[in-house]
Amino acid sequence: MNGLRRLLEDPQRMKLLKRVFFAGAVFVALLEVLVVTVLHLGHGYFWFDGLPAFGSLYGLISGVIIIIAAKFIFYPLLSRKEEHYD
Amino acid sequence: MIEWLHPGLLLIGGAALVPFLRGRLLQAYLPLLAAAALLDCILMAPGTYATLQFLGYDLTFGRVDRLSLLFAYVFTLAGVIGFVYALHVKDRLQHIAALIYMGSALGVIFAGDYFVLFIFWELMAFSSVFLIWANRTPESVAAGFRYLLVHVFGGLCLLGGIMLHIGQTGSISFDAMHAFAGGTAFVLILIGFILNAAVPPLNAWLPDAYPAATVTGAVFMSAYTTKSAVYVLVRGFSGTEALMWLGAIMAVYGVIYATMENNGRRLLAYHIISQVGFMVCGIGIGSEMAVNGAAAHAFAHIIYKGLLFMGAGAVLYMAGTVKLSELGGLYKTMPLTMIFFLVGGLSIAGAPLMSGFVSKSMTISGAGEQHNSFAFLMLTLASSGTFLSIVLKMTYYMFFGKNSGLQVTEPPKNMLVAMGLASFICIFIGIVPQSLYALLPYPADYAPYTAQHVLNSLGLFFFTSIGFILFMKKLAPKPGLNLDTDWFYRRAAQAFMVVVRRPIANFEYKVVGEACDYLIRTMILLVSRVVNHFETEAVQPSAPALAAGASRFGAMLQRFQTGRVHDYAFVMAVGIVALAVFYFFWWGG
Repeated sequence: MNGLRRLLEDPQRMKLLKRVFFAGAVFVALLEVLVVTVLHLGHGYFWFDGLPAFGSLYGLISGVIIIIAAKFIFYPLLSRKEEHYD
Repeated sequence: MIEWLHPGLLLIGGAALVPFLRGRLLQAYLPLLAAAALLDCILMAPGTYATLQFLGYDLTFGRVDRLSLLFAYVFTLAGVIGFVYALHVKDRLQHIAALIYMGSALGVIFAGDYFVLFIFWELMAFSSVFLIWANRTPESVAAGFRYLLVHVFGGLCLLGGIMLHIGQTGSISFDAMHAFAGGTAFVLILIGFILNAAVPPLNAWLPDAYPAATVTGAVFMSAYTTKSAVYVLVRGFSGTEALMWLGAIMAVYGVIYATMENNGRRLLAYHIISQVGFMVCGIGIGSEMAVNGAAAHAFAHIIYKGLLFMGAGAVLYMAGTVKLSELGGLYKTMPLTMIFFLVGGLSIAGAPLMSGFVSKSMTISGAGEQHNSFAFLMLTLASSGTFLSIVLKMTYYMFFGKNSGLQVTEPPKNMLVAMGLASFICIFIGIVPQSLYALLPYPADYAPYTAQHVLNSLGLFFFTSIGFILFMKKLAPKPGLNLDTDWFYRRAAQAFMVVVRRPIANFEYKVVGEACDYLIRTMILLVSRVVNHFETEAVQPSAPALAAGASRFGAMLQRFQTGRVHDYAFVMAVGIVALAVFYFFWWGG
């Protein structure tokens, strides 16, 4: 765990970690495109799920939809103090 | 030789011994009893067992087929892990409640008719509530009563439906219900079932009750109630279209609430709702692949959800809180718990090489195969949200994030062993999916590990993470409570209490109470006056009178009791003569 600790508490290494993460995301998205367009390994049930990089695109859309729905729409409507029912 | 031993009977009967065992013997007994039930399930052959006649109906306690066996395996397996996790608990009440709860869940699984099903269904609610009450705090007592009231309501719907169903068909056997679709009996039974599956709007009991349960109790509760409901839905309501819609909505509903939630165990409770949504949706689609997916997902879910509750429970046990706003930086002192929790998190999100991947994708492919784009998109959205709120949000704010300054260590060894065991099963199923597919109700010819599928999942998770990083500041958990559908009955109950407190209590106190008071007061005064009169007039004078009488009687006796021997001899002689005369003239004659 000391290695992990050094990684997380050193801003220099943290920056590197973030870069590796974004590079990984781009790499996976490119592979997704590759599988569908060049290798023709994929098949879709619908018109949309066979599109290049469907997983990456839908992941970004889903994440944003859920965060906006939860934190910006429902949270202001439904959040109360912890003692609300007491 | 007994032909078939009901594993539920083994557990419920075994609970009777718990009060007499202590120390290491009890610690060995509990997991061994659960393991014996697991072995019992592994050894039993499909068939119908333990049928008996009751009031002209055939009761079936043992319907053993592929579907019931799948659930029985995972119920007993989860029991073994749960009892290892609970080994350090001294409170016997919890052990007894857990055994009866587990046994009655198995009773539901093996029930072949509605009577037996209903009895075990109710027993499940009434035994599990003790896992909440065992916390012995005012909050848990109140939450337990709400839990019980909701389940009693569901049980009554079920009972009403069963009665109508028997009235219409004359049969109590519990089988596929699609022939009766749309009827009142069908709807009532369905309501009873989906209440236990926590389908919105009948969902709020779950996130209300589970976080109020004990650390170890919540692990058991996460396994049985909702998944026995999934089982009965598979058995009776496969292909009911309403369930497809409800399940797809429910999967996203749970995720959105989980993203808002601050209490770690409540967050996980909302994920039960979301994950059961996948199963309910698969059941609603009703194709062989979708139902297989629902059953496989139930199996995988019980293990990884138990693992997540164990991880959150370990944090609660060691740190005293599981509110994300009060935690952070625990990876330094609880690295093993963090790793196990992450395995559970990746499993529930459906990351490749984890159990959730091989089971969840089957349900989603089932939706795709039926060209159901709504279910497909909603379930994929929920997968992304699961990754977001458990793997990213909960792990980050609990184990990483800003340092909370809490001085904690790893939990007791037995907790770590239980989490290790569950982690192993999650990874094993992820790597060897055929081990799970071989147990499914329909033949499963499904390959989860295609290049497209694995990459789609990885892409989904990577880019969901990017969304998390973009909105990180907004996602910081804050203390608070989020209203759910329990608002309606909790507010209604409060309004009812206001009516009770003000007008009814006033009427009761000022009119009814006063009237009773007056009546009772006059009655008591009357009676006491009579008693008083009797006491002074009769009892008190009688005491000296009795004493005087006694002394007079004594003086009289003294005349006979002279103390001289010849007086007594004379009396005896007279007596003998009198007896002789009596004998001769009466009997002799």
